[in-house]
Amino acid sequence: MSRMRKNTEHSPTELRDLADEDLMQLVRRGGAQAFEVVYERHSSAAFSLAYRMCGTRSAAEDVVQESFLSLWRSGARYDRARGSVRTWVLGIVHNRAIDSLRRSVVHDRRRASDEGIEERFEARERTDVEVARLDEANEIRQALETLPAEQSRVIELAYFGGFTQSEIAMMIDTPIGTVKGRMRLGLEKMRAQLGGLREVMP
Amino acid sequence: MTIDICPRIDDAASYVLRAIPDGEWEQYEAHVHDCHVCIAKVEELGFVSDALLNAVVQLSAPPEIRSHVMAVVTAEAELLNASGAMADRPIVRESSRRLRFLRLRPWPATALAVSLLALGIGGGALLTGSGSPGDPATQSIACASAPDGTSCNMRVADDSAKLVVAGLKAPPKGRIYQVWLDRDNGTAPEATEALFSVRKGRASVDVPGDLSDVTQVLVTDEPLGGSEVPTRQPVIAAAVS
Repeated sequence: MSRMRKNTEHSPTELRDLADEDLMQLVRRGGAQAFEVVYERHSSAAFSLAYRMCGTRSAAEDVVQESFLSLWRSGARYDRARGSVRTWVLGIVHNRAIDSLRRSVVHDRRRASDEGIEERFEARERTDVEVARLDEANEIRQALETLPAEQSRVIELAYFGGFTQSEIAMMIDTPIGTVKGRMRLGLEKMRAQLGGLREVMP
Repeated sequence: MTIDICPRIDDAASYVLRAIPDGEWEQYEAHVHDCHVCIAKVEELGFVSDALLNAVVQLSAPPEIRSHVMAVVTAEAELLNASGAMADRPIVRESSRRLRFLRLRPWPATALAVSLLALGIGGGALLTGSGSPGDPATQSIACASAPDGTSCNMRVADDSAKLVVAGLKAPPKGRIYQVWLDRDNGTAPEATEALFSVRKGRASVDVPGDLSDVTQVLVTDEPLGGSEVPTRQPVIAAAVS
């Protein structure tokens, strides 16, 4: 805190040099420019996650917009002891996307309208940090893909599809206890594989 | 005494994946609070669920999201700065879909209904045709009411709706446009978090929330940060079907 000045005393260049956690201190005090830098850093990851979950551009835009406005209005709740700003932001997006999916009457029809959006919106690698994050994402995806299919499927349906354990049990016609067991075994295997992973900081 | 096993250990995975139904969520959280086996498992598996947040194919965020978000943020920051250090920040509970932070004089539902009747808004929307060729499920519906000189329509798909305006005057100084959902059930319109300004008279706003029984989407100008109930008469009314 001691090296932080008032938000208005930072130039845009200085703001871009600050760590996320320092930016959040300024956001907490109403710093719109600091918030914009946080947005710049994490909006693409937020949109990517929201699109992966919601399956349509329109729904993903809603989720990202709601999430960042929520973040702006509740910045004081960020606690650096509980993880990075990026994880906090993406956690909000994940929760919002699940809420959106669960209240949607077309839950089971998502992904129908925006096929090929990846081609139009695929992000380009621009910085070393982004390259490192892509490597990290590949490693995580690989860990998921190497799981037995029945384990990766229940994890994906729950985490990215927003389905509850009982909904998944019905979908795949499997006892709920088996579904929960597959989730745990799959995550434990991924945990073992990703043991050396460290979050990439901006 | 150390407890080595817990019959609810599998629920730790469901918990970090958010697969536990909302109605059972608090019950499991209470259990985790008292069970060190489940606490440890949640921490262990939570590492993976956090990592999964970054595991998706990376796309670029469409620039219009930034425009919408920063318009609201800048407006609220200006209000905060103008109000001084003791001003209350608008607070929204993360779990809430409603705006709860302003205590404004409600604009009574009956008055709103009378006003809508005066405007001749009764669901007489004009269907102007389908949306873009690439999205045949989208319908474009002209707004039932909008200020003179304003072009306004709703683009409605199966699971979403977007309000598109052109030629709309900027909201009065210190105010912002807010979108409301009218369910035509005798209650006041439901607040949304869709706050927007216009750029060169234009705006394209995604209408959030469940639209299944919404009869009209309304727009009013409200104090920065939005309101819980409309405080002004609607400047735009649009049917969604």
